[in-house]
Amino acid sequence: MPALRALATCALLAFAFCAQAKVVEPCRVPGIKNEVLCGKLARPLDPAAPNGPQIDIHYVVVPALARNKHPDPVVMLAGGPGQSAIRIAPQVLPLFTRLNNRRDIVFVDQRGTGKSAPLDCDDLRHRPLADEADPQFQVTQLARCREQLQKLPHGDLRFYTTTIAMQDLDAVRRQLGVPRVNLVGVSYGTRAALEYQRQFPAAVRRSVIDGVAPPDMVLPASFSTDGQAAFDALVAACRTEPVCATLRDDWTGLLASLPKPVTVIHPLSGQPESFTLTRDMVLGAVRGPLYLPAAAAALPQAIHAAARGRYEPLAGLNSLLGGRKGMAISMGMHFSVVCAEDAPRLSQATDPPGADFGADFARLYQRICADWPRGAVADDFYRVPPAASPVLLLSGGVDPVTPPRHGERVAKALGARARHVVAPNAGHSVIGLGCMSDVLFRFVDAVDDHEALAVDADCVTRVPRPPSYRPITLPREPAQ
Amino acid sequence: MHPAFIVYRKELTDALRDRRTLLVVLMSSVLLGPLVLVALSVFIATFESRAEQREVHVVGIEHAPTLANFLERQTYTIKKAPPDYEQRLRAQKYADPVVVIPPDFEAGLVNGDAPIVEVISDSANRQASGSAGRIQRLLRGFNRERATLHLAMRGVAAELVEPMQLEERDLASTQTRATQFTGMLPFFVMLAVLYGALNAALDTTAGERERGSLEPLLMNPAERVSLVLGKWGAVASLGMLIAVLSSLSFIPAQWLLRSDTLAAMFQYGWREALLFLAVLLPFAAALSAVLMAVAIRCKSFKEAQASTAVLVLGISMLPLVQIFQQTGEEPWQWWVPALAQQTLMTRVLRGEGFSVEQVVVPLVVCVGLSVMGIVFVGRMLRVAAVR
Repeated sequence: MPALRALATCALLAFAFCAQAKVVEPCRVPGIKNEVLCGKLARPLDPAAPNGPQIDIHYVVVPALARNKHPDPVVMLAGGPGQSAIRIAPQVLPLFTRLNNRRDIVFVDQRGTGKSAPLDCDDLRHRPLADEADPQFQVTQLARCREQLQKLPHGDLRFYTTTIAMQDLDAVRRQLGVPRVNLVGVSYGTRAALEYQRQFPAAVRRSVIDGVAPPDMVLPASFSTDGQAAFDALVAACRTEPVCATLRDDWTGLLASLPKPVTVIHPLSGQPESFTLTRDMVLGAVRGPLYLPAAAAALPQAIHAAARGRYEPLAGLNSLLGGRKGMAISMGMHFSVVCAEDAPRLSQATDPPGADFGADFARLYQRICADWPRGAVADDFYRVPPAASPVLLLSGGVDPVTPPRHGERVAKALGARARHVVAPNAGHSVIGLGCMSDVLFRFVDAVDDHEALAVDADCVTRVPRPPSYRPITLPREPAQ
Repeated sequence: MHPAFIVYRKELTDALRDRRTLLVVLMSSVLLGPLVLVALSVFIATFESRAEQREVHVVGIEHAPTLANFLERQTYTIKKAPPDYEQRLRAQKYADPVVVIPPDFEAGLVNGDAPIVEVISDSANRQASGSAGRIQRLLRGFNRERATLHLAMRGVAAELVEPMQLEERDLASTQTRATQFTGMLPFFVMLAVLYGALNAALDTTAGERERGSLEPLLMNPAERVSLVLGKWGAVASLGMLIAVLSSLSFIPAQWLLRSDTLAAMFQYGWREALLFLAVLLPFAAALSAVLMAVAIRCKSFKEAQASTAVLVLGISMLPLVQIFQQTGEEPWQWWVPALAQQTLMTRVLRGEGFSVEQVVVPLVVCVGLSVMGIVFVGRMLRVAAVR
């Protein structure tokens, strides 16, 4: 009997292989050195109307090097919400080099992002500084974008929720003919991963979720609390460093001086721009660098300069993070997800707004979501059931959006098969830290579940805080 | 029973009876390829594990707290290099490059003085120089982080540092990429076949004459052509046996690979083994005939060894053609025995297909050489009989 079963499995595998040979074909992806495989899958826009309008879900498979590869690929879930997984593939592939020896790496553009029925709004990257941070400008822009998107054949914005997107992902898994997948999700990708394993627990072998953004976190509200905590941690750390001891005073002074007229050289064009600097702009500009401790280390100096009327350092520092092309977010998809899943629960949110960061950001989301079509979200979506397979949770101690408190709560809900690793001095995303690619490899590659959960991740807990940025100082002229 | 087969059986028994020679041939030629493969994988594995350890060996780290912090943030462990690191690097007793930091590093950094940091290795010390590139990339990361921050603090966007995105495209398939490591395997397989046939070829011709057993043999009523075919068949069989053994030996050899990356890249299965054999069997036949033709003219075993040395040397030098030739595969290559086989086997390892010309030409050459060799040996035997 076992022999017969083995034979049947072989036949099935051969069939799956044939099916795969048909659905994916060799292609090139910008930024990836070698040839990869591309595939697409038609899915109904509305799951309840299988014969209604269809959309194409695009995905990329980076094939394993080995001929005798493992049957369970690694699937990368992008952040945002609104990032294209395929577009970030070149940046994250180095993480998977060792896993890629024996496993395929799969990047699926979630519906609404990248090539899969994209919900893109105008690129606001290269706008005048004043526009970039003006809430009124953003609200108008997004309202216009929403109207344009709704005219698209796939423009019914109610069908872009995480729940539906994860059903797409499972359809891709079935098309690829793989029994189980290993999930790697960063930021919003963690919410996607949690939702996938809630709906399809048997299809997951291992998951790594980094910067945990659980379904119940009410993003616009927690954003203020967590951003404030990360900023306060910076202030506290500065007390021990003479270079930035005045941070608290500089910050209070800066906020008190707003709004004020400034003239700033644009980071990209070099042209001077004059506008009124508002509290929103400053908070927005401070929030960006907090994601990355190396950039946050320069915040004290930038705030010091801004308090004295020079806004360039803060503008320049902020351009470090928002500028990259691959990181672009499909704003239509972003708001379709957040307005359906987070915004309705804003009134129930228990997270207190940060002392400086306040509730402005939540109000901005509320204004935009007021007119945004809202998808149906089941109550079960907000519950995290015990994990059926090992989950490695990663949190950065000074992350301004997904700090360890969310990871802790989720780890408890996931139960015995979850392991939470906190890197005290890391920001948003721990997985990018040097040694993590080896930790990731060992966690996914371990044959035994216990062995996987016992993986040694100490190397990231020892990562230090970067010292505060010190500007170049010219030596004083020697006295004659 | 056909007289040629009787000769064949007798010659083969003779060759196989000499167990010691056979064992030496087996050990040296058949095991050589897999041994090289395993040794290569151990080399790559040590290189990989050194990279995984994430250590950087430094002199004067106490002068550079900012750099130390950067290295720790990249999850590297800082190790103090011993004072006599220069001698040790030269004597190959130290396997890591050493980073030397000047005493005024921190002040230089703050004053915009660009302090000099040295990465010291010894280009004759393979292990240390192999890691030097990795350490340099790590240190350049420090430069990039500082530069980006300095520019951002002056209000300059990060995009201005790199006005264009530079992307690399590698056209090679997975299998072709693996041949950068395993490219020398065909060469070892061919040498194995050569040495497998060499002894038997010399023994059955010059050896027989030296022992004085050639004349009695020729007095037999058997046709001369049967004698020649039997002898050639025996020699060729031995060469082919070695070809089979060495081609198949790479299949189990893969289990011993220490480097996961190499194991994943080296795609050698039954298909490759059979294609290797398709290339090697006609070659073994031709090589046997040619070796016999060279040796039959010699009076002693020793003289025959000297004469065939030219042939052995020629085949040993062939890989150089592939290294020095910058123009890629040329049509004339398919007409050169040994070189054609080597190129064909490289194509098999790369997972590439063949054109009709690439298959037919080397085969025709092999058959031609075999026939010419056999005819020549037959003629020489007639001369020997009269002499």
